[in-house]
Amino acid sequence: MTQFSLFFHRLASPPHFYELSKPWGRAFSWIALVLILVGLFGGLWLAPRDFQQGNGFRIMYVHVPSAWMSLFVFMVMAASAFVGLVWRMRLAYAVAAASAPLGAAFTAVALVTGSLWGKPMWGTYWVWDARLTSELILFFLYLGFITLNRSFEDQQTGDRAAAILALVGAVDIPIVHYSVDWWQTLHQGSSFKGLTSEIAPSMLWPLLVMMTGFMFYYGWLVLWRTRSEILLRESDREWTKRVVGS
Amino acid sequence: MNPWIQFFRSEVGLSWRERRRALLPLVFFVIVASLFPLAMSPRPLILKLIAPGVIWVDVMLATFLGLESLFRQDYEEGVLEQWILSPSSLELRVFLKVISFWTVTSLPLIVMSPILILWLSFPVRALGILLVGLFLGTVTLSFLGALGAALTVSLRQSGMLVAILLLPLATPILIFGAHSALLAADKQNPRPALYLLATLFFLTVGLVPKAISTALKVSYEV
Repeated sequence: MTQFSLFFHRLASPPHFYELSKPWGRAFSWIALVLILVGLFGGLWLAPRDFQQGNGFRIMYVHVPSAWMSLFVFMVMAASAFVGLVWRMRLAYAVAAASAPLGAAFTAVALVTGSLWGKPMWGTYWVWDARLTSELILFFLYLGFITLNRSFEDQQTGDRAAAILALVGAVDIPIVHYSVDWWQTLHQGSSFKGLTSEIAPSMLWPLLVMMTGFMFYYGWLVLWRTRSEILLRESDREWTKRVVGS
Repeated sequence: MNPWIQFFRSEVGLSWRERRRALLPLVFFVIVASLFPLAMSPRPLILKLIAPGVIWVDVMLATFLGLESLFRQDYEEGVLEQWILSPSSLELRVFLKVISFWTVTSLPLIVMSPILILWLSFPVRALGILLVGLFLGTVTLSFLGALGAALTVSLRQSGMLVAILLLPLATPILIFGAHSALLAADKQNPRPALYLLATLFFLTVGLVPKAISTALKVSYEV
């Protein structure tokens, strides 16, 4: 067995992960803090005003990373669901369960910031735009996953049922997006052009920094939440009692 | 006689014997559709616009609420366990079970929908497209709904939960289905929407039985 695959096999064992995730999570949290502070400073202070939108465009420094993360987290969830179902890896279920509320929160932030931006720019908080609608449906999918995961007395049944839902959802999300897009073009031209034109470099770099910062922020939170999920799932094990007791 | 045909016939027979439960979705379907003119406006112009949407949302709800207990009895009586243990294909069994449900519960909805069309002053020339769409859509919805029923088979009171899980997944069916009828009423070409609906139909019928079987096995820890 190579060094690399050995690393992964050990990572899959909950006690080992529990130990390893602490320094990693701490490192991620600091990286996330620095990146987000730098990104916010760059976005809110250094970047020039937009000649059309004034200062209003600055909400994109939160909105775009959140929207991006909302999809990324679902991909992580579906991938861990797949790993859990195929290789029966308990840790994968814990990661999926830990990710779902985070993904839902990112989706909610994307929806709320989008609405706040829409009011001054479009004159209304909500339009049934293709992207908004599919983001809303994504939010409902997250809620479904969380509800199903928590509905069973036996956590393992809940994990596996929710994993199937996550996989079906991952297949369905592109279809939903496509159908909503089709539906939208049927009704009216898109009122949302958003980031069609190339963004000036002075505005772009804070956005990229923010996106990376959000990734690390999610990495930190998911490690932290997975730790508690593991403790919850393994509460009758010897090592858990040892860890919690100390 | 082929044992699969026998299985299908006995499933249909079983649901038919519980006619009351099979008829509930139909009554629900008709009553809900009759509420919209009361709540919105009886003017034909408005009704004509909302008719396909009302019928499609109504069909979706009736299907999902009716499907909630699809595997419940088989689960409680241990029949499901025998299916899983049996060497014959669980997927095929699930497929036939869903089709038998569709025959007893959804087919009457489709047969009833022309009457609702008259209530909602929808142009009769679009009826054919609506029926084709409903046929494709109800089969697809039945398979999706069966997946929800399979995921929640060991839970009591899962009706709302099934709806929450599945309604977001089913939005593409709603969009393509309702709009094919709307386009036909507008004398536009409804084919693209119908073709897309057919694509979803084949995708679902082909893939979802596998997901349903996996979901059923989950409740037995296999």
